[in-house]
Amino acid sequence: MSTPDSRLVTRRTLLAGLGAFGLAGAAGCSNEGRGGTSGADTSGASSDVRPAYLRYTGVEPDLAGAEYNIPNAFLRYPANPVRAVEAPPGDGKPINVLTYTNTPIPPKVEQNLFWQELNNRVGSPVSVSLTPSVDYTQKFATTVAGDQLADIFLVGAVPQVPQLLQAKATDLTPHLAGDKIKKYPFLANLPETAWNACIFGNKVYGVPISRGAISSQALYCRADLLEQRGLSAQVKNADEFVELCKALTDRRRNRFALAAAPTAFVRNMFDMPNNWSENGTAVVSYFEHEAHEQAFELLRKLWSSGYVHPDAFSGQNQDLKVRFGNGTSALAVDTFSAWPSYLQTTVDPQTRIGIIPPPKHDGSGQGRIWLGAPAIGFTAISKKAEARVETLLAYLNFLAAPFGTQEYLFRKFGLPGVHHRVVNGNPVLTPKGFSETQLGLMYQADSPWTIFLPEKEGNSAAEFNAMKQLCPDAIADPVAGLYSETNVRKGPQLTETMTQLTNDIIQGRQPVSAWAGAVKKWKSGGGDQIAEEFAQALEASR
Amino acid sequence: MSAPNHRLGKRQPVLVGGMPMPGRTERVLKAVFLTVICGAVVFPFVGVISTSLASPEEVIRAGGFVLLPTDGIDLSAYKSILSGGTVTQSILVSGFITVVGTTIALLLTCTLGWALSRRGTVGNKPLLLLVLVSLLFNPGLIPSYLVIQQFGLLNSLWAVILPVSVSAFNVIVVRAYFVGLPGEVLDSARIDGASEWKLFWYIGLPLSKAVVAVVGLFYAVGYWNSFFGALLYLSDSSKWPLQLVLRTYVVNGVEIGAQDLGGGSEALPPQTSIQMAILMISIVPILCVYPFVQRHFAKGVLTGAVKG
Amino acid sequence: MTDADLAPAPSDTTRDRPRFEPTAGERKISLLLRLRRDYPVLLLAIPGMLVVCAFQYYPLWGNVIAFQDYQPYLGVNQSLWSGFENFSIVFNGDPEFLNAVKNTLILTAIQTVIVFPAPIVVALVLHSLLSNRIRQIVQTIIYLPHFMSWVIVVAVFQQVLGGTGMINNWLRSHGYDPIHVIGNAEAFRALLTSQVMWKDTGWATILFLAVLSQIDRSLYEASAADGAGRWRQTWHVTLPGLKPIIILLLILKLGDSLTVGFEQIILQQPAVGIGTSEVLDTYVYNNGIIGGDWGAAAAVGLVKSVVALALVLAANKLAHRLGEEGVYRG
Repeated sequence: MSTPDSRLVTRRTLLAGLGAFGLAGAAGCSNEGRGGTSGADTSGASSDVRPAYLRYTGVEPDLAGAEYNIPNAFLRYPANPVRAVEAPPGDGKPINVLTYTNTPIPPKVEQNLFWQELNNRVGSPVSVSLTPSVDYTQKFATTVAGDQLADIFLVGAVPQVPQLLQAKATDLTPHLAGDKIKKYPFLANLPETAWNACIFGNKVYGVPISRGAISSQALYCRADLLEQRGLSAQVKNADEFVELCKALTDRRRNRFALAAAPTAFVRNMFDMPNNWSENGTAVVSYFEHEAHEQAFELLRKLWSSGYVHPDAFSGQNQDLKVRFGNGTSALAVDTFSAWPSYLQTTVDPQTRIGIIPPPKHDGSGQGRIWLGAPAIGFTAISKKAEARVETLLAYLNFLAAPFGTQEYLFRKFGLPGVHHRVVNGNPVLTPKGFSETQLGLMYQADSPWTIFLPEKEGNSAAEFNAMKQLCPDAIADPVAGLYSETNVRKGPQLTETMTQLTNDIIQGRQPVSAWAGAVKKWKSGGGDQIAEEFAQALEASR
Repeated sequence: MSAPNHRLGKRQPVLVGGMPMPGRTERVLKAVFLTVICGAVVFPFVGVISTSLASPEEVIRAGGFVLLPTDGIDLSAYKSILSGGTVTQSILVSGFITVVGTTIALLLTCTLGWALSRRGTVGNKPLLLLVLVSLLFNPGLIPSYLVIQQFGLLNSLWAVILPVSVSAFNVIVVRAYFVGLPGEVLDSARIDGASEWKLFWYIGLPLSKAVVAVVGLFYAVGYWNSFFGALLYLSDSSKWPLQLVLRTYVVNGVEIGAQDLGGGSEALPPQTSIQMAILMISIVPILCVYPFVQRHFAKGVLTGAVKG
Repeated sequence: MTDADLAPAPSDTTRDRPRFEPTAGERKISLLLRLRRDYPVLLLAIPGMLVVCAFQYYPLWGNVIAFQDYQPYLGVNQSLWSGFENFSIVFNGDPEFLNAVKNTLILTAIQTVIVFPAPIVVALVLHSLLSNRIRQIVQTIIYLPHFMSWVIVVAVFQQVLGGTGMINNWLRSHGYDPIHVIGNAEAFRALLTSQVMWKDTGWATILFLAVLSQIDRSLYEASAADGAGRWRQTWHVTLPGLKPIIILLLILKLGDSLTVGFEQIILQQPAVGIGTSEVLDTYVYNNGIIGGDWGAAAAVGLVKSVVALALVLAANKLAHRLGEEGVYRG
């Protein structure tokens, strides 16, 4: 919610100009909670329709994460990838897709060998309408208004999602509910919780793009720099953390321990719940947690002592990685999924990335990080394409083929010799491969995340082990993926206000005591209603 | 008349463009002033160019701008932008939009501005008001989209060209300039029986080269920089203009990482150098065209015309 | 023509030219006759007016969503009507809203007093240069920043003035205290103003230079013949030549007075806090649009447009009272 990261999403979205809507969390995950608005059915529990989970076992991971609820890790790409999909999923007719992208657009199909080969393997010409992710909500809203939705579309962050889906999307329940999903084995390989995002009024309306533990935030450290100074990455309490920051700061050399204010990390030290917590049948926001004042005192201390980079509040996201990579700041809070980009933003070959687990502030044990949301969004199938729903689901199933299969290798790395080279048994994208493969496939459907960091020996294992240590105890958000209409409509602005206040308090522009008043205002301004809607949605999902 | 003539006689050798030669102090002050404002622009721009040409390692080490690349010149930022061929193609698209758009826009704007400058004609004031009000009221995003759809322009470059081809602001500026034209020239032509179109085309426009050049530049730059219409109306990305394609290089979401790029890809140049290279790529074409436009801003264009 | 004929008296300068104004007698001509007389002019207006009507006025009906709980999937026909509820974001009297309006007006005032005249000064200096070459080089340089997006402008300023910008890095490594500019609420307005000036002053000179080129050179010669020095020429020839366009731009700018640099400000808001940085547009963004509220966005747009229209028409009237042309004259 008000983590520094989601803050950045919002900021970036603004950069889209013409100020439209926040994309925070791309399609704030959903589940029918509030019935009524246009007769969406809330009766029955979504467990009836929830697609079954059948873990794919065709490829043996080097490090298996299932028992820790974290992604599998691979040290090498499997030598003889299995062919997972026998027949091309397509029906020969074009498949149109509307989704977003975070990467440069690919060359057009006539000049794009990867695209041509994809069409071949799919058995249908695929045409993708891409939009930069920051602009997607606007594109989505106008496309909906013009009734121009493609066969498959990623659902944008707009109000009244349940009603919109009822009007515009195909009900996938008959195809995916319970064991029926077995027909699409790679969709069945998506974790159960991820489906929360797609179930509304006891109907399955989409296929999730799953993430989960990999999008949890943790404190990255430059293990090499810590070692050089004989500092330990194991801090036992808040004071030791402050000491560590002090030791890593050297103003004369323009070194600041923290690339940005470690708000999430400090909150973890105080055991704050992950956005929401259950209290009997009610849900309570972490805004109301009693430790905020203490947490703010600590954050203010870090800021006023100059341990936080002075441009922490005026920079862009990429600055974190650069500050970390060039050694200006040895500590940065980010998601586990950012590991590869931190790895890429290094200059010193000695660089080693580590994770510092949060301690409890008083030294009474280990703190707990917040578990990432199970899905970052979902794609639905247009009602107009209802007749082809099986073909389209087969296509999405094809796109969800997991790591280690031929389909995955092709999807991410294209053809050998053309789009990737093989280095030490691992595929490495060539520039041509990089430019041709950017069809936004991972925002149509994707397999569960896999840790695979061949760039540098030891990193796959390092990330896997860090996650293994932190994620099993991570605090889950009880309402992650559930839908609250008020949250979609007012949530972003309410959160924005609280984030602004958080910034103000940390930088000393507002007193710590301002927090309590703001929470009251938050509650009356919509927070209470969001809590109530989530509580109902939670009840209904059981 | 003799006294002034006498004075004039003395001064004439130092008149330049009708103005007396500036004194020494004034020249020094102006030199300082212009040096300062140029420096304020040039200094950061050197940073921009250097950063776009610095090696990835150097940019990361510097943590931001590189003022003078010490590792030598590294073109990887430009290479990674230009490699896929999408940027080069989009430059052609943008070129087309800009040339065709500016031509149409200038024609529509100047004719409308001319008509509105003819005060006292039927409907002059209501039409002018209509143009002015359109400057102040905005149709929303969705209604604009629906109108484009209704006109059958979705996924067509005309959707990016036509809606912005008459800017009320430019019409008002052009009109104001036309109103300020010396009336005697037009009146004499009218007496000679020149038609309205001839008046506009052979007298009005040539006398207004400066403002036409400026407004043309406004339109051209507007078309060159536009991306939002393309974003909404063009779903086929091979029709995207330069700025929209470049946007996908700079503004990426939070999740981007090596895995987004397909895992194990060869390291991309850092964002900062890509950002700066993009800026350079989008400015260079304008820099090439500008001197040709600029000629028309030179002072004294009009004088010759009126006298001639 | 002799010099004496052209020498302008200080009071009546270049503006006194014959116009196509109808005389009292003409006004009485019947509409039909006037149509017959004026149709060539109207023909010229048609293509442009068609575009204005098709792409500006026709979609304006969409503003009815200001009175709806508009949902794109329902469309205008099926969305629920909500009366004036969307307007509450503007008229609820929230102190934060009033603060945003205050900040907006302060920034507008600063921009009118400091930012607006800057390009005029630069244009005058450029105009007075003797060397065409120098003028063109300077012009080419100073218009460059216009092409930078706000993201980059903000980044450039941060590189120089930021907490770890060039200046502060130097200060810190030499044992001095860093200066606190970026992220300092007190300096925020100055920062915004200098950014705007840096980005757009050069670009804005272009229009003024074009108008300066319209000034008849013989007027300068004549005034010089009258013994006017350079300053007097600027005062009596150049500035009067610029006056109509200055007034025109000021009036149009008034229409924009509720709009100040949304993107520029929102990029820098986290660094300085909303206390000084919240303006009308960011307030509306943070309090409605961010949640996907199309209706509220349209409502605020409508209010702003109506205010702008009133301001522009009033200012135009005032300009007429002062004997100026303004945007138009009826």
